[in-house]
Amino acid sequence: MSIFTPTNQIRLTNVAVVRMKKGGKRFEIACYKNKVMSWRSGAEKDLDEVLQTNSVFINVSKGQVAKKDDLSNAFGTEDLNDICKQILAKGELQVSDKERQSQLETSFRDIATIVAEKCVNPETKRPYTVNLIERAMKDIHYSVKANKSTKQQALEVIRQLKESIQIQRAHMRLRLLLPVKEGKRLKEKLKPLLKVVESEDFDEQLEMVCLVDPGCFREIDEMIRCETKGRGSLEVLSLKDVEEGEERLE
Amino acid sequence: MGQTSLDKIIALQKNPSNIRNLCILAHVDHGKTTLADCLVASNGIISSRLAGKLRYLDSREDEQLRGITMKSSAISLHYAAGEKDFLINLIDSPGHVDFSSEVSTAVRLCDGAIVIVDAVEGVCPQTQAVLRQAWLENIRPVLVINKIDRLIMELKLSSQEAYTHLKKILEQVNAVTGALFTSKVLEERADKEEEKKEKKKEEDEGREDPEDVLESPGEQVYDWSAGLEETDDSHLYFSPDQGNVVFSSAIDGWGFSIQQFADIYSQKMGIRTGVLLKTLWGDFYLNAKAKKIMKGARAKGKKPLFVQLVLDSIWSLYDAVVIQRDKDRVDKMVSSLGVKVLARDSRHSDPKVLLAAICSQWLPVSQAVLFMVCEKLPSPLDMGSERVERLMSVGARRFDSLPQQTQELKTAFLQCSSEESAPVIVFVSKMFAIEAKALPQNKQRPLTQEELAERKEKARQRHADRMAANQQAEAQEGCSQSGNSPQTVHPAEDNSTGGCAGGCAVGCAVGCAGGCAGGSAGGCAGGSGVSAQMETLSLSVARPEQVEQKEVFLAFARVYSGVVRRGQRVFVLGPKYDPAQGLRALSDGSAADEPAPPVPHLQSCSLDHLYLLMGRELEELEEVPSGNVLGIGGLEESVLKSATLSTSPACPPFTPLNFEATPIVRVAIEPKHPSEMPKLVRGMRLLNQADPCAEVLIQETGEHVLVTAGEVHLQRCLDDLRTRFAKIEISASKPIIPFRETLVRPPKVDMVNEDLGRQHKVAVIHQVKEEASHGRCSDTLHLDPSGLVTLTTPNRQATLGVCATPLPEEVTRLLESSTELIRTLEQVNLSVREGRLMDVSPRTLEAIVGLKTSLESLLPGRKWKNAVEHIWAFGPRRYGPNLLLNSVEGYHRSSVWQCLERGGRAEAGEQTVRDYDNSIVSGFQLATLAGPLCEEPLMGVCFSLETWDMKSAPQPPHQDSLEEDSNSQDASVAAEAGGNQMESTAAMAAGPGQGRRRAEPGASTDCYGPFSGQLIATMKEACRHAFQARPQRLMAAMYTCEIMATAEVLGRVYGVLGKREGRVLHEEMKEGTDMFIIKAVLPVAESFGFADEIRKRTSGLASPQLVFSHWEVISSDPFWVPTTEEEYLHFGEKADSANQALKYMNAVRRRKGLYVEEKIVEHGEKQRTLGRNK
Repeated sequence: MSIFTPTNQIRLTNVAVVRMKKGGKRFEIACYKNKVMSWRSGAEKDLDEVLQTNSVFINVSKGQVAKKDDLSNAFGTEDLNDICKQILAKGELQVSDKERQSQLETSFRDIATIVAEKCVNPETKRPYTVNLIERAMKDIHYSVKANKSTKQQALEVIRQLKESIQIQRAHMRLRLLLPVKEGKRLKEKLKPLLKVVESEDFDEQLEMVCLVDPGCFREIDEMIRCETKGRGSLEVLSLKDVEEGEERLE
Repeated sequence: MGQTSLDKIIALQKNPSNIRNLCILAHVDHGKTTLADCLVASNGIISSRLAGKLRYLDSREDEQLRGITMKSSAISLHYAAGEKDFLINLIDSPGHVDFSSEVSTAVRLCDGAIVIVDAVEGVCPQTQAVLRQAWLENIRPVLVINKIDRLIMELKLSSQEAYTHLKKILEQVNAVTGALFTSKVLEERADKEEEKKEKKKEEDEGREDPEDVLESPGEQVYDWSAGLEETDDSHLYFSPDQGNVVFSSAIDGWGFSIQQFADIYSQKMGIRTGVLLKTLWGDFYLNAKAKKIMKGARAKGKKPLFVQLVLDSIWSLYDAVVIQRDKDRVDKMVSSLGVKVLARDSRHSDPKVLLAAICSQWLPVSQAVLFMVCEKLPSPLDMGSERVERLMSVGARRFDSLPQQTQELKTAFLQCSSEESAPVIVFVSKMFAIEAKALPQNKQRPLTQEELAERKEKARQRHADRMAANQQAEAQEGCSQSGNSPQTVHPAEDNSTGGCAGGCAVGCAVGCAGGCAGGSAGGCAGGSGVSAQMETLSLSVARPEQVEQKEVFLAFARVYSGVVRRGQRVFVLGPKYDPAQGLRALSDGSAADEPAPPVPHLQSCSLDHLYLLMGRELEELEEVPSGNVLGIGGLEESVLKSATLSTSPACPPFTPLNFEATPIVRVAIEPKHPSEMPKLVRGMRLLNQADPCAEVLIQETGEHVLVTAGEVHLQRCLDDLRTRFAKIEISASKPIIPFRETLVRPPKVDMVNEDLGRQHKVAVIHQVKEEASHGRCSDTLHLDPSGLVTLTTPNRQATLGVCATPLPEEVTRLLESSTELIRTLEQVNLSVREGRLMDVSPRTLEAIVGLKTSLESLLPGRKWKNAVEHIWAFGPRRYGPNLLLNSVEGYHRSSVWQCLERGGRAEAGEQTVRDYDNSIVSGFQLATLAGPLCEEPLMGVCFSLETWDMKSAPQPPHQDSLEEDSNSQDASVAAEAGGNQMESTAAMAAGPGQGRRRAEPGASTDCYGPFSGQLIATMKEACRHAFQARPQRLMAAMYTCEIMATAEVLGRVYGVLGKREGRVLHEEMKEGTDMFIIKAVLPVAESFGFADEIRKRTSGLASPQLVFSHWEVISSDPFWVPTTEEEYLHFGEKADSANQALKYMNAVRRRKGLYVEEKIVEHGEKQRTLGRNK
């Protein structure tokens, strides 16, 4: 576009519009791109860095400024800065590119961190690093959904990662105390849920130390409580069964 | 293999008195490998024209590319001095400081060393280091002053100036040696005094046992009754008239010792050689009139004899050949020197070629060096008894304290006999990996007569068969094959042995290559006949395993006694093996090939293959007599990095190698593709074995960390991993750095040292602001100005009041150091609570009591009154350095010390509250595991639960408290399992609390999940808020850093330390040397690249060592912003001067994907203002 070409169309550039409907009217303010989210999160404290101008519009692109009466009717004040702040805090906005990117990046990291925290390499019983998980997630082309919680997505990721790398949820170590009477029967029922039975001791009670997948914890708990009517008990020895300390590879 | 045949070397190996084991040591780029080239060329292995350019012993690709040696490699050379034949086992070593571990492995196997010094650069840091290493290993050095040509060509010194320069260098070298000597003598005197004291004591005690006393006196060698003055040190120094100095220019191929010139001139001038030897070096001059050699050349302004007779002639040669290029003069000189120069050389446009041609005949460097080596360096037979003892006594153990049988082995060492009866003692100094292809059994070798005959027969038969079957096909093939194909096919009919040998050998070689390539197709493409194909098949069947496994480990070893045979079984002694123990366990006559009872650190294995190391080539040997350097195959299972092999269990393991550089550069390594993790792990194991200095470890975070000696070493290790051991793409990055979060007392002054009473308020304001920014409904949260935080559970049933305070530093340290004890304490408590009685050893109980009393003494004053009694739990993970105190009025629970007072357990307090006791603890554990700053564990924080109100007291649950425990735990787990965030206090759907018919107070609360879970979450949140209400700080892991540096680089060391936030604790001078020892602390976060930087800045004169020491509070507040007028003045509005704590915190948060308070765009108006499609 040559600078001499006349245009009859003025484009808004570097403008992010924040809209709010109040008192039956639509109000808009003109802000800089990529700044509104920072303001909302509190990282940006300077209002002038966010607002292009502190006037409130009916339509930013047409340049229609809101009437004073409407403003005072809707907001109960005529202080434009105050109104702008209200609109900034509660209005709806279109998320701009960098904001979205940083959001997705953060949640991607967050998911990877959660996965790394929850999982281990079954061979070494050691956790994977966040970096490695991130790379693996990229390998399987995992895309972050902005509307789902990171925890939910992390569980989904673990399921998908199992196909490409050696990974599993870190097991919980439980101790089960079962009364002798129900012990045998219950043990059979529990068997499919237990991954590894580390020790078993038939004394006055059946005492078992075992590793289970954290996902079945509720089920086991429920089963023991219902079946034994409160006489059996279950105790978590460790939430995560991982190797501790440094190990020298030799 | 060149001129010297394998048989000759094997024959020479049997005569230890004519063996010289030596290594070449020097600073980087002083010409080690070039000199080695010259020596190798003297044996005809490479052309003497290529000597110095080929760098034969640098067999790795990256060595050739970078032009530095990276590993030590050995070669056996033959040298004939007069009628005596010598075998020289030469080990070339790297000069770069990163590879000084390779130097250590080389030095251990040798009896002598050639130390090279650059004539221009003089003594350099690594020169000092290698001299020290040679000294420590007790081997004798000889000196080569190399690159004299640079004095002529580059510095343009006159011969007189060069003489003074050389003298200076010699003095420098001798000064280093002298310093080593004095420090040793001083040390020994100190030891001696101590020893005397000990001896006195021992004697007093040893009276009852007279036999012991009688045995030992003969072995007492450490008899340094005299001090420094009386100890003779003249034999240590380098001096040309002693014959242990050679002047050379390896690149031009010349070198000489005084001896040679003395010989030449004694004939010419008729002066006795002996006289000349004494006077050629030193302040002597030739009085031409009197034909006498006189003293005091300098005083009289005369040329010293050395200049006149030696240097001048070399100078004039250079002048004529290189500078003037005067053909006539050169011809005259050539004829007077009596050397022959090929026409080709004299016509060459580069005068250096001509020079090299003349010099290498006139004064061949190999002659000079090898002669000196044979004369001056000891043979394996002359090993000093002191050195033997030092090798045999591990650590601080004295030689006398070893068992009797072991002491007898010393004679075996000294005799170095190759008799059958002598015990075999071998030391493996390193393992190195080579490609399986390079092994001699996998490649071409000359065949023996019988084999030849056999093959001939076979080939003839095959040939006959083939002739009969497909004459046609063969004819075609013969045409299509390359030129050597007729050779291979026809000799089969031929009766001449030579032709057949060639043919078979080629066939064999090609077959083998084909086998390695994994198919007969390769063999065919190799370009030989059908016979080759047949060979391929048979060979690839015979060696499938070696083809699979591309890398083979060989041990770099030396035989100290006895004869090593192929297939022999020996004991492998680990570094911690104790001969006394071994002797007890094994019966007297047991040999290595019998199944032996298991002894710690003792294994037996067989020596599958023995090799003669010839640089990049290997020759297979049947047996190796004592005193030789060799390579051993088949030990990769039993030897990790170094080991001692012996047939006698009485043999002690040798003292571990002393490495000059300890590995300090840490990187985390990850495969590019996560699925290749197992390959990486295997590769790292191999690397660990192949490199004496690299360390690999897996950290608790799951990182695979590689620790190397320096950046160059790191590069090599990564290359090796990529191309040889793991064969995958990898990436190396900065390792994860751990932090801790803690609290401090509110500061009294602000950042500009103004008195400040309101700092506390600022913290609260900040807290509230953060709260608001998180958009949290804070009607359940109440913050007291005193720091008490009260938080109500979402169902409004319980309210918790928590208060956080910093623990005194000593308490934190005590808790940190007694984690093990606390863990047992917890276990005991658990069992006590269950009603079972666990047996606790009285010692543990004692330790617990000790812990309690020391805690009490460390927590004095009104504030901590009764605190120890009220400790509720430790955290995180139940044994960390944080405390939970029970300050709830009216709630008595048995403290953690309940195991101390058995029996009388107070059963007081409301049952309802007790049932949820465990939820509180779990909440505390979760809170301490991940703090609010950057989700790192807390440290040194004391939370005390001040109030605990249960509104409408829930009916006591039916289950006993023990089950409640489990429920509380499960709540947190259930939260994650169900995929909803229990911790977040935001309202959420009922969640999968399906059918939880728990005794919940009222059905309305069900929507918040089980009550115990809510309590955990509330407790956790309350702790976090209480923590945030106080001035929070980050704690950084610190290294203690010990730096050895010379005085002149001290300033730069301080500079580097200062730049990296290091703090110098103290510095002192090492006695007897000019080295300073600086002790400093340095944050781990700043240590990446530290070693490299300090080396670069100090030109290698300072070498740091880093060891993790402790956690330290970073004094700056991560949330600090200027608040007062003065602070604004001083720091500006934004406080943009870097806040260290904030930097660390944000880095961690970013890594973890947590929210970082950071603007996406700094200046809104400075963004691109055009639309995207314009």
